[in-house]
Amino acid sequence: MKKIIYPLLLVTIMLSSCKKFLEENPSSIMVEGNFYKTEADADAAITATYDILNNQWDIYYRGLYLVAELTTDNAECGVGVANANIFALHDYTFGPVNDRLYTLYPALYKCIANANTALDKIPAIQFNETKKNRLLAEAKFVRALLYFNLVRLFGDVPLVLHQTTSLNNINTPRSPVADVYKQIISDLEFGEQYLDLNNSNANQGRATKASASGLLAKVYLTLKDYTKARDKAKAVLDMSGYGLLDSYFDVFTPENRFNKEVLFSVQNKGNTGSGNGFGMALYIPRNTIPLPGGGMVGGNSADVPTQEFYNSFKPGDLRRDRTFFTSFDAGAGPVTFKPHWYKYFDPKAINTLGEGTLNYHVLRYSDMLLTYGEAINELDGPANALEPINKVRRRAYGKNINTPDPKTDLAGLDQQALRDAILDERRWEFGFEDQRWFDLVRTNNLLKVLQAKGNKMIKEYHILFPIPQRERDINKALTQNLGYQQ
Amino acid sequence: MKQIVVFIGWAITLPLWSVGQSLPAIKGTIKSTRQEPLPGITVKIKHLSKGTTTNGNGEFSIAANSNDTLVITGIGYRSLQFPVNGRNQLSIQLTDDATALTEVLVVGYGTQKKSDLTGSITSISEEQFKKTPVVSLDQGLRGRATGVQVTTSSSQPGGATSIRVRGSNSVNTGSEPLYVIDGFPVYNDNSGAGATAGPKLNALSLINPNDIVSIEVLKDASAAAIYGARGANGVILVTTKKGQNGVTKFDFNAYYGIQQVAKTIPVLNATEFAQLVNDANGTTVFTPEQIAGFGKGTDWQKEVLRTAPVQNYQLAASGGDAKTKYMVSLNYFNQEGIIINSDFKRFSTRFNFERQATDRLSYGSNITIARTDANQALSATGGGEGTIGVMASALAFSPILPVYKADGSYVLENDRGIPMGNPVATAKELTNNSINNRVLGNIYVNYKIIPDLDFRTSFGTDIYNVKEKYYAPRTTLRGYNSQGYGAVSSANSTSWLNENTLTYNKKFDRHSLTALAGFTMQQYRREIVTASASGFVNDLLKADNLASGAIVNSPVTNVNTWSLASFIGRINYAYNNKYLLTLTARADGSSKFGANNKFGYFPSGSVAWKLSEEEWIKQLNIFDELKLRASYGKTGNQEINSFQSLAGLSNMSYIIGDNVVKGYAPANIPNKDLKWESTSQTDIGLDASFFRGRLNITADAYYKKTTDMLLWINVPWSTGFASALQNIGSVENKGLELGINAKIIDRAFTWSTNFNIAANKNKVLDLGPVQQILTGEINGYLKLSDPIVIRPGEPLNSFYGYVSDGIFQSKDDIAHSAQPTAQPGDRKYKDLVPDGKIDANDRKFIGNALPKFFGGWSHDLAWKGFDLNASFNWVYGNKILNSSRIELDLPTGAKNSSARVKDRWTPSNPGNTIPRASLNRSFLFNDSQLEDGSYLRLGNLAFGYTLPRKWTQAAKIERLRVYVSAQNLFTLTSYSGYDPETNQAGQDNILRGIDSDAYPSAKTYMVGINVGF
Repeated sequence: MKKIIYPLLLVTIMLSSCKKFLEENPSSIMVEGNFYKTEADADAAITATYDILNNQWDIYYRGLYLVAELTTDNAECGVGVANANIFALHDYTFGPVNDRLYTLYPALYKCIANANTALDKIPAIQFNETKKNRLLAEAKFVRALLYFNLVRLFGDVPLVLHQTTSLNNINTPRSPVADVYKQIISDLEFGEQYLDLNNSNANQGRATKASASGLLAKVYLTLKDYTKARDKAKAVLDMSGYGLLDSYFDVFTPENRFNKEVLFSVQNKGNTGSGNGFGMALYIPRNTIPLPGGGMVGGNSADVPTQEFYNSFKPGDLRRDRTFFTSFDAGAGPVTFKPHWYKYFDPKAINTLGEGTLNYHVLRYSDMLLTYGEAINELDGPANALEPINKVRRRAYGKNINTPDPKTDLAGLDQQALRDAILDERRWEFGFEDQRWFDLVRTNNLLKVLQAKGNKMIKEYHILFPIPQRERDINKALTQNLGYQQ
Repeated sequence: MKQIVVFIGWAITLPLWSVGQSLPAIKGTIKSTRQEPLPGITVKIKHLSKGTTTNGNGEFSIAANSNDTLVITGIGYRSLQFPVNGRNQLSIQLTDDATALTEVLVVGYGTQKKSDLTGSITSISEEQFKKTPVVSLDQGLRGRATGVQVTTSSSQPGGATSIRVRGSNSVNTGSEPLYVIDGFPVYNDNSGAGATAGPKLNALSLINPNDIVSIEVLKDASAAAIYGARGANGVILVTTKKGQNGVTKFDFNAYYGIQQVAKTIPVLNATEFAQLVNDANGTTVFTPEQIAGFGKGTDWQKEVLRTAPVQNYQLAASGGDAKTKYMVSLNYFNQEGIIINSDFKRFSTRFNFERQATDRLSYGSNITIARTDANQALSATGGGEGTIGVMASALAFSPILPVYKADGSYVLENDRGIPMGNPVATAKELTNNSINNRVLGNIYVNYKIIPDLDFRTSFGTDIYNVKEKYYAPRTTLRGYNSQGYGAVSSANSTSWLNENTLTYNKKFDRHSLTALAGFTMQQYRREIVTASASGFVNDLLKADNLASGAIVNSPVTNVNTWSLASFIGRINYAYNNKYLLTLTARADGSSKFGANNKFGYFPSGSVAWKLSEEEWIKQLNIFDELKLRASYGKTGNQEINSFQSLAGLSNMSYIIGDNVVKGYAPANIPNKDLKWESTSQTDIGLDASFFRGRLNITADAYYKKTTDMLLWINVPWSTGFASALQNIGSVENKGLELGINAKIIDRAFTWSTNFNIAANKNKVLDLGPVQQILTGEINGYLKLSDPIVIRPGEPLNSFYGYVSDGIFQSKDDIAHSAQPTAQPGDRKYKDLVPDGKIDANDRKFIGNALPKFFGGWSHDLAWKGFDLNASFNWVYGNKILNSSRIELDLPTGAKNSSARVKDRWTPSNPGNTIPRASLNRSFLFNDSQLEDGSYLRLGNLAFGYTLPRKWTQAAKIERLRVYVSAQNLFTLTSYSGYDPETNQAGQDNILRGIDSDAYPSAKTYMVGINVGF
């Protein structure tokens, strides 16, 4: 009998430890149950909120580049493009099934979801209220920025404002454009209230009051609420710590990436091993620039500007040779090539094109000057609108910003002529900054401009992109934009 | 009852008997009906456990009483009870055991006579298994096990397979069968460590197939339910060789072969390609003079392929005495791949040992230690710049370009637009190495508590370490773009297992009962470390000094654990050896599941009726065996990653204040109710044996329904997630299986054949709230999106696309079509929803990757010492999405195309197959891009000769066989790719039947020798 007892005893011991034995103990995975408890956890939630902004192929720069630059007269498909979906965006033959829209759209919502999580979790964490509000305001700013992109690209969109914690009620229908804007404005107003005016060195890269007010000015300009656009732009122009740099070139140099002209910029840093470098390969010339050690710079020539855009710059406009380059010497002798983007270029990363240290500017001081000028022109006509615009022009031509210069300054234009001039000015000022398509649509010029430049495929309905078909297949509550396959 | 008491009393005093009495030695010789002496035959005295075995001359000596009866048993022979009758010199003849139904099979946690089976089990003996030389045991199942489909993930040496037993039960959950190697359950996880690129190696290749004595495939719920939450995909029991009592045997097996590519794919030569470039660009890129000078250009397939040797050496010794048995083996296998610079080597040893310490206590162990070292050619890539595999680039690289420039350096990349690296450089210069070490072993103790009750406990462990190394130097496009990129990774996994079972065996009157109860625990832990860097000063140190890279990427570490605690029980009951009943149950507690659902219960029951034991059947005098079986039961599937039920957070990073800061964000939508999938299966089967066992038929019909599928359901992107894991939906599989083996001629000349065929029909029944599951983009290069759509009512792996309607021939043709912007020569699609435009609504289901039926047929012929084996296997009625062909059929001139493109549409050559040349790469996935994947293959053809013993005996050689054989000699198929058996996505359930950048399969010719002494 003793012989039976031993094994039975063994089994009994095993049974008692069974429950513990079956508990999951994920030693290398963070789980929600033990997170969102401390101030550091709150900081980490905000870091996560920003993170997806600099996933270059998804949002800034390239996710948006393919819908905001490539779809305009600014850019075309270079020899490095093999993907038919990218050609379709340039040619206006795209439909609701497009892998680039399938990349951008979920990335925008993923980033919004991370902001929503921060907004849901942080309030319950105990720490300094001022800082807590600042963190919440940062999350709201990011959410507003991305909804602003979504609403402009897709029109009515699902307005999700909380973390998804279960599978119930996840088929959110599209909210009307007006409701989306209402939320954007509310989020940004919260930001204006609680964000810091300027970032300390340790906080470089975070959203500030200037980011929130500046974005609000653009929102109002888009909504054609020119009074508010003017006032918000003016508020930013008057904020201390912000202004135009004397040199347009310096706005984009890697060493100068934190400068007073930046209102909000997506942060990138190379060689950190954390995947936060800026990727330049897609727009650097392919197999063209020799390297001193032999071989060529490994560019791809996929994202390239049009020759027409290059040629459109007026003589003396220094912005041209910051926006593009047509020759380069990497140390093994100069070579020339057709115009390629140069605005975001880190010479230190010439051997390792994925590791640029470059901040991608989303909102700049010059945008506020042009917004201010445009709003005044719309409200009161050209008279008082010219000076802010001329400031931008004088800097572009290397002149003293505050000294009128008859050769550079715009003058004697009527309201419509100034509208056209502002649109051109914005094109030259913001080339490769993912603004062109938004400006053309906002000013109702997309069809006109592209048709004039030979695009035969573009139709009225192209002022919105299609809701991705995949999303509609899953979420039956979603409708499709006019013109696309229903 | 009196008998039982006497029996117990006798058994308890047994130890006294065996030492206390001295008996006369009785000698004897055992021979076959052909008068060959039979070694290794067990001779025991009836009712006693002691015994002996015959030596090499078939002789034995045993101490026995003159009125004892000897029980003589040997594998492959009919058991015999032989009364001594006072003689002391016996001459005994054994007849071949032609009735397969008297075989003893391994079932989970025990063995059972095949004739007593109530469930569906296919067994493959060493004899069948060793006919075709294989690298890993899973490959040996091909065409041999009814209802088991083996597909190749990669034909590279050491490449993996994917196995489906009676179809796929699931969409997202692993559906590979569970392997139980000498009692140790192993899921064939080929995921590797992560650093190498291309298809993963086969983790089972570390188990030396030469050591295997039998494989049993448990197919129905009755057989597999003893493995509970891991039984739904079928269970493959692997048993390795044990020593034999009495004789010491040495076996030496060796073969050497050469391999050649079975088939190459015709592509354009340089002249033809240059013309295509001109046509596609619509301008004269190459002048006629230039074209005239190009000639045939570079044959890139020839540049990367070679004739490669394969060799295998196995030395095994086995033996023992009445109390101790052992088997040791040593194996060396070396296969070079037919793509240059690819190879696979294995060293393995095994030690199996068993000791009968007392009449009650026995113990033993099975241990194997193995190491493999493989250099992999980059293949099976899904596309994407700089990562295109050797064969994909060899097919598509411009034939105008040479391998090397005038200065001897590599031509870096294709210069016609589509970027891809030089295939020779990719093959030769890339380091893509994987070293695997595995120790799999267990020790066990059996203790007879009382004569009918055995206690067994075992402790086993599986230690499996993978070390991978990858380096792309700047001679390759991948390395060129990053100034050298290197990565190393290691995955160390340890799994331990403890099993404790009690087995009660009892026969009384007409009743026979076996009962099993047990408790088992298994725990698994795997740690992965990966480091990578790029931007090296030069390529000299490769991946061996990652710190010297300018960019050192964040290291990645990961720990995965799971544990399983289970209770098992089984009752086998037979009445009058006619009516059989088996009841099985397992309760599995798994850490992988949600807090609300830790334990799952998997019962099954089966009955069988041995009709051949009924008098009225016996009188027919037709059947040797006739048995009807029926079973029903539930099994489960838990093959999901750990920690899925929890609300996990993923690690994020951003730059704030010019420094990297870390963050966390939700990684998934949590699910506390997550549990196993459950599959209920009904099986009805028939076993029949005729003509004194010369014809055996096994037929089965089954119906399986999987419910509560572990499904990644796509959720709206607006949630911030793409999908969520849920227990939703169901799938059914139903099918028929037929296995026949027959000894057609059985004289001096023998001809036996094994035939099996299986048909399985799969249907998705329900996907819960979702109407369909889309597969997303499957080829980053072709931008092939959603070619497979999963929808209720359709089988898994159904291709979904447009319907081709030929090629537009004229403007007039276009004007009356739904594609008004097309040009003559463009592909025309059917406007299925006639609305005057071609859009997503014009797609339909256009084919299926699942075969209608498949099977194998092997023949063994023998005459005197000669033997011939021919093994065929076939698959019929499946479609293959050959994405390599889609790429090659695009007449863009931006990369090379298949020879078919010569016949492209031109105004003067108005064809209907290949559209006109154009730079445009866009296409709509359509039925003309699917191919029939049916094939019939002569998998093995071997011819051997065993030298007569009288010639070899002088050299103390018992058996000497020499043979020549050929594998994969021919394949009848209309499939245009390298191999219709390919399955690029490996173990994936959804993306089956896709061929992309496959490693070509080889034909092998070999010579070999088997020596036994």
